[in-house]
Formats: sequence, structure tokens, C-alpha cells
Amino acid sequence: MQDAGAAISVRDLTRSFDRPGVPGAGWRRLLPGGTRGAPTVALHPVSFRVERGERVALIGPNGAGKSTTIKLLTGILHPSGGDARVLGRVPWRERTDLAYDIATVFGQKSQLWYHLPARSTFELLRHVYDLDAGVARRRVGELTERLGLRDLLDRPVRTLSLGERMRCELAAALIHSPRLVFLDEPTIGLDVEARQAVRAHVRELNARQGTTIFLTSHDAADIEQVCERVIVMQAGRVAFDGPVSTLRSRYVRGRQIEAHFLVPVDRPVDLPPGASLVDVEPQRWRLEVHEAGAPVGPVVAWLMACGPVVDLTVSDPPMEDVIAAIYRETAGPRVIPGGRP
Amino acid sequence: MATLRFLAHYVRANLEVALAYRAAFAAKVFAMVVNDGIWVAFWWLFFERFPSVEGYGFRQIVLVWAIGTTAFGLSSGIAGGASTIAAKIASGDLDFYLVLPKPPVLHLVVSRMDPGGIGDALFGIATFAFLARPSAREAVAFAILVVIAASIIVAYAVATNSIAFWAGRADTIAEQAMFGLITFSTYPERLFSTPVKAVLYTVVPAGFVSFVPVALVQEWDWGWAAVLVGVAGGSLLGSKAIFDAGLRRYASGSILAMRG
Amino acid sequence: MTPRRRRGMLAHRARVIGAHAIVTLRDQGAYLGELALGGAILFVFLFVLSCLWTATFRAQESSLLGGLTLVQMTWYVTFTEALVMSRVNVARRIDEDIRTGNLAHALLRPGGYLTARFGAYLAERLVRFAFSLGFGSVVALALAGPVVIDPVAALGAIVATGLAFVLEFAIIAGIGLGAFWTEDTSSIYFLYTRVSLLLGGVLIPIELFPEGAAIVARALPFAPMIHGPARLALAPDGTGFLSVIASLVVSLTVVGTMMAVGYRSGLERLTVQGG
Repeated sequence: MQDAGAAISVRDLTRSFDRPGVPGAGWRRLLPGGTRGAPTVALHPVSFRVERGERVALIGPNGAGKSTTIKLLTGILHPSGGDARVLGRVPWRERTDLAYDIATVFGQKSQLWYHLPARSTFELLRHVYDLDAGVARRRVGELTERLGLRDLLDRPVRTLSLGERMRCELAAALIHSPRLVFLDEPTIGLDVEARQAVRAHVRELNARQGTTIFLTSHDAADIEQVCERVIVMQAGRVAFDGPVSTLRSRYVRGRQIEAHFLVPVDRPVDLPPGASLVDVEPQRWRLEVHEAGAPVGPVVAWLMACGPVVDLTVSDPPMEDVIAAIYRETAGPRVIPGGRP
Repeated sequence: MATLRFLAHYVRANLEVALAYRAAFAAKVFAMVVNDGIWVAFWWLFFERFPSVEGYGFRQIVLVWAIGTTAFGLSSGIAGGASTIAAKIASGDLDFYLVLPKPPVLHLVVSRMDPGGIGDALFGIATFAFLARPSAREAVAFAILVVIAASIIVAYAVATNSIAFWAGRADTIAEQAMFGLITFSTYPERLFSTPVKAVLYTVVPAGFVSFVPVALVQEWDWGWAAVLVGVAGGSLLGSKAIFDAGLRRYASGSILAMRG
Repeated sequence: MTPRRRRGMLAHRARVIGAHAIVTLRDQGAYLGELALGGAILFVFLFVLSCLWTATFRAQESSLLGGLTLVQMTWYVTFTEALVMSRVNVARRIDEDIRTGNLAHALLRPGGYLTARFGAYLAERLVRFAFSLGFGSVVALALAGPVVIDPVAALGAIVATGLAFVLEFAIIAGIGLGAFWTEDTSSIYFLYTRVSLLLGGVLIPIELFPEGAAIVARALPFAPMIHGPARLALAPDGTGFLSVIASLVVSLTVVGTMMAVGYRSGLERLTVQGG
């Protein structure tokens, strides 16, 4: 049923949480029957599978169950029901053994010692992971090279910029050569350059060592540039699971057509059927064609008739719009079957 | 063995941090020394007026304070993280320790060093050396007993802080429990009636943290020494078991996240 | 205004009140936690001290130590503990105000900064004192039984307590104003609390101090602030009252003047530095 070949395999995993009692009355919850409310379900039965070497993004609005899923897969939480294997192990039962093979990078939480140079944290982690001094030295050298840490290692972490710190953070997470890396919002709060650097490093890690990547993010570029596959969670369920390219067509129907005119053109009075205006400037119009797969020919012809077109682009809507569309769907999950064979 | 090396490294990193802020560190150490000194000064005043109470004289109370401050100092100076566990459980900050391969409770316990604890320990050792003027045998007994007492204190802190797994917020309960232990550990045993002693040898183990070690420094007894070692080992294992049992209920801040 | 709009506004107001009530309740929750901690500490302290004094009275085979019976001694430490535990750390707040520049802000508002601080201090201190003394009395009653307090003595103790609260404000605020000149006022405050624990006679009345120590203690302001009111309540005598009040007034004059001078020169530094 559960094969050891997959990096992650999850079957009917559920988790609910007890509702907290009256604020400030913590001790009352010690009494039998306490003030506990009905439990809140964070995860309805969830199932999916990630192969070794895959790059998968887990996305969804806040409260959809992403963090709960990651915490279950890393052994932080115990599930209410169901089964999961990570690198062949049951995370909550074999947490310690699993910890040697996985890494976690939480964008908002640092594992570096704030007042010490990163090198001190690395040295500590060497003992945490029981690495030989020689092995650790080689590994740190390698990471220093790849992440460009040469000038950063001996400065107290508090003096580093956010981007520099994140690079050290990555190195700290990778010091024990994990086979599977969980990244929870790895680029949050970083500037553009640092974001791109982090994405490039994660991609490279996957390409060079075949490390499996499992990340959550709200950032469209993290998903597009790093991952090949997306799992969308909504209200504690898997709402979509498939390649990044299919995700777009599933959630946002239609494409955008942008036309540049040679001379300013008056705002159109009527529109061709199935199209709507997104944005109008005198020399540039942007339209949306609603139905996926609907022919764009008539709309293009109509545009040509409106004025002298010098440039025309037909494009898919940007990933941000796709994600926004997913998050807007708060009414409930719309399970789209079979993104994957 | 590897675990011990790992713990030693943690302590060293803590020290490095402390020394990065030398002045603040020294101020905290000094403040604690003054605090302890004030108490010993109180006892000096007291015994000036009443030379003997229930067979206790100034030297006995000096031993109580020397052993107590050194043991509490060692526990919070090396394992100051123990008293932060309740808050970390409530805020979901255990995650970081759970994804590492070493036992999380070990990590947590050494994750912080309390400079005041260093002050306590320095005060205790100095008091013992200069005010109690120990014999060589007493000095050896002291060195062994404070370590055993300190480990019982750490176990007690872990156990009381672990209540947070069941009660949500329990930092106040844990703080009260620790305050009680400290207070009862710094007074002579003979002040207390039998029912109170029953409490002090069980739920608030001042008996094993202070009374028994103080008696043993003065007069060694293999039987009591064995009991003390047994209690220390048992409470360390017991507190780890309580923590690990609580871990199954750990919600990792998800309750808070879901309320928002 | 249409009825519909009025209903809307009423609903809005109800929502606002509700929101405030919830926030206040939550706040209260945190406060209750602090009170519970204070209560537990007070209980343990009083219990241990009562054990100590019971043993001491037994060992001395005497019914009166330093002019107090065992019952009075238990109530004495209850009163001194309540005084000490009701202390409000104004020093930290003033220190923060100076460092963050809030002080300069507060100066723009009418009414002196220290006056406002004093008002807040007094309110909080009275509430804390009432709680500590109330809870402590229950504990003392259970540990030692009731004590007879002479109404005139109680009046004297109240006057002395009031003066002590004012004097202690001057001292603690003075420590906070130290932030104009020094980096770390919190350790000065800590030292103050420790020294007053000993020289204020919190654990042992000054009458039972060795002679030299008693002279030192009586010369400093700690004893009239802590030992004074407690002693007056339990074992009143006319000259005692006068001497406590006299030393409180003298201390208040000296410390108050020092604080005022310090405040003024501190403000000058503030303007020189450009706030």
C-alpha cells in the first residue's frame, strides 16, 4: 500500500485541533470536562504522493492546512488519523531517524544564533547531526562556495542583511546533506535579488543532488520558477494536484490580448461576444477572452477593425492572478479530479 | 558520549553569546550575588540575636544557602532553557527542536543560559569556601551533591513546564512551582511539620534539593546518598517521559493560527 | 436621521462597546494571572516565615520578641510583605519614557509629567496593596489567628503608609530619572529592592537587629517606610508614631528635593540634546 520508493506518500491524513477555552483561564482546562469546545478540523482526509527528486509547491490561502501538512510530514504534529510515509518512515513515530534525512527552512524563523557568527551555528549543527569533523568541513566549504558565504561566515549574524542571512540559513539547513527539503515561505520578506538567489539555489540543489523539494509559498514566482508541480489546498482538502501549467487553465479561464495602436483610438462602444476590457489607454488596450480554448480570431479581427494595430500579444494570465483566483474561492473546495495520471 | 559533546557545545555557544555582551552579563551576575548576599546577611542578623533555633546555627544556614544557590545556579546557568518550555509550548516554538535529530527536551534545556544563575553559583561556591570553611571531605561531598541537586531542579522545571501541553498556558503555574521550590529549599528543614515535610519530599522536592544534601555534607551516609542518586535519576527519566507524553498533544501554535 | 440609520449607529456603538469589553476582559485575564502569581508567592513566603517565627519563639521560650507576640509577628511580616509586594516599578516606565523620547512628548501636554506618573503610581499601588493585604490577612488568619488592632493605631499606620507611598514614589522615580545619566537603571532599582528587604525590616523587625545594625537601619529611610507602618499598626505607642512620621517627613523633604533638582537638570540635558 505504502511504497518505500516515494519521497512522500500520504493517505487519508487527518488532523483536528481542540478549540482553546476561555482566554486567561488556562488552568480551568485541567479540570475534567473543562471549557473545551468542539474540535476544529484542520485537515480532512488528504492523500498525495511525491516522487524522489520532484519539486512540488503546496499552496492555498491561510488556514487551508498547508502548515499542518508540513508539520505532520516533519513529525512535529501527530495526526488524528490516516497514514504518511516520508522517505519510507512514519514521521511522527520515527521523527528522530527522519530528522537526519530531511531539512526544514522556515522563512520567518531562524535557526542561526543571532549574536554569533554563522560558523558557530554550523559547528553546533555538526554535533546535532553527528557529522565527522572532516565531512563537516568539506560540506561547509562546498556550501560556502555555492552560496557565496566566504565573507559572511565570521560576522555575527545580527550584522548580516536579510538576504545574506537567508543564504546562511540555507547553508545551515543543508549541512547534513538532506534528501528532502521542506521550505515554508522561504522568500518572505526578502528583496528581489535575494529572492532570485534563493530560488536559484534551491533549483540547483535539486538538479545537482536530486534533492526532493517541497515548498509552500504565496509568491507566484517561487512556484513558477522552482516547482514543476502544484498541490492546491482549500479548507483542509486537496483541491488540485498537477503540473504548474495545467493549474493556470484550471483556475483562470481565458487569455489576455493586448493591442498597441499606431495612433490614439477612441474607447470602444461595443465589444465582441465573450470578451471584456481589462484596461484601456489611448494607444493600448487590454482585453480578456473568457472561455478557455475559445477562438481568439474574431476578437483579433475586431481589434484590427478598431484602428491601426502595431503590436499584438496573446498571453495566459499571470500566475498572481491564478493564485488570487484560488484564494478567492473561499466558498468551499471545488475538487478538480485528475490533474495527474 | 556524542550527546554529552553536543551538550557541551551548546553550553559553550551560550557562553560565547554571554561574553559578547560582557557588561550586561556582569551586571546580572553581580545583581544576583547582591541578592543572595542580602539573604545571608539577614540570617547573620537573625542568628546574632537568636544563636540557635531548633539546633540550627549560622553555619548550618550558610550550608543551606551555599548548596541551594550553587544547585539552583548550576541548573539555570547551564540549563536555563528548562523554565522557558511552557512559554514555548504555548507559542508553538517547539517546532525548531522537533525537526532536529537530538531529543528535543535536551535541546530545550540547554538552549538558554541565565546569567543570574552564574551569579548564584559563584556566590554559593564562595560562601561555602569562605563562610563555611569546609574540610576536604565536606568539599568533595559538596561538589558531588550540588550537581545531583541541580539535576533534580532541572527535572522539576521540565515536569512543571510540561503542564503546558495539557493546560495551554502554564508559565505562571511553572513559575509558582519553581518559586515554591526555591523558597522551601532555603530554610532549615526542622522548621516544618511532618505533613509539610511529606509535601517537601514529593511534589515540591525541597527535601532532595536541599535538606538531604545539607545533611550529607555535614555527615555522609551511603544509604541517603544512594536514595538521592536514585531520586535524581528517576526524576530526570520521569520528567522526560512527561515531556514526551505531552509532545503527542503538541499543537505547534496551530490553535492560535486558526483563531486568527 | 432615519430610524434605519439610527439602528445602524446603535448597532455600531454596541459593537464598539463589545470590542472594548472583550479587550478589557482579556487584559483582566493577564492581570489575574499576575495576581495569582503574587498570591502564591505571598502564601509561600508567609507560610515559611510563620514556620520560622514559630520555631524561634519556641526556642526562646518567650512569649514576646521585640515587643511582639507570635501572632503579632505573623501579622507584622504579613504587613511588611504586603507593603513590599505592592511596590510599583515606576523607575522602569520613566526610564523607558526618557529613552524613547516619550518624555519630551509628554511635556507638551498640560499637567506636569511627574504629577501624571504619580497619579498612575498611587492608583496602582493602592490596588495592589489592598489585594496583597487582603489576601495576606486571610493567610495570616489561617496561620496564626486573629490579631487585635487598636483603631487609633490603625489610623496612625494609615497615615504612615500614605507618607511611605509618597516617599517611595520619590525614591523610585528618582532612580528612573537616573536614565538621563546612566545606561542601566534597572540594576539600581534591583539593588534598592534588595537593600530595603534587609534594612526595611521586612523579615525581622528592627528591634531584633544587633545594636550596630539597628542604628544604621534607623538612620536610613527604609525602616520608616516598611517597618514603621507595620509596627505602628500592631504595637502602637505615641513616641513611636511621632518618630516614624518625623523621619518620613525628613526623608521625603531630602529625597523630594533631590528628585526635583535631578528632574530639572535632566530636562535641561534633554533640551541641550535636542530631545
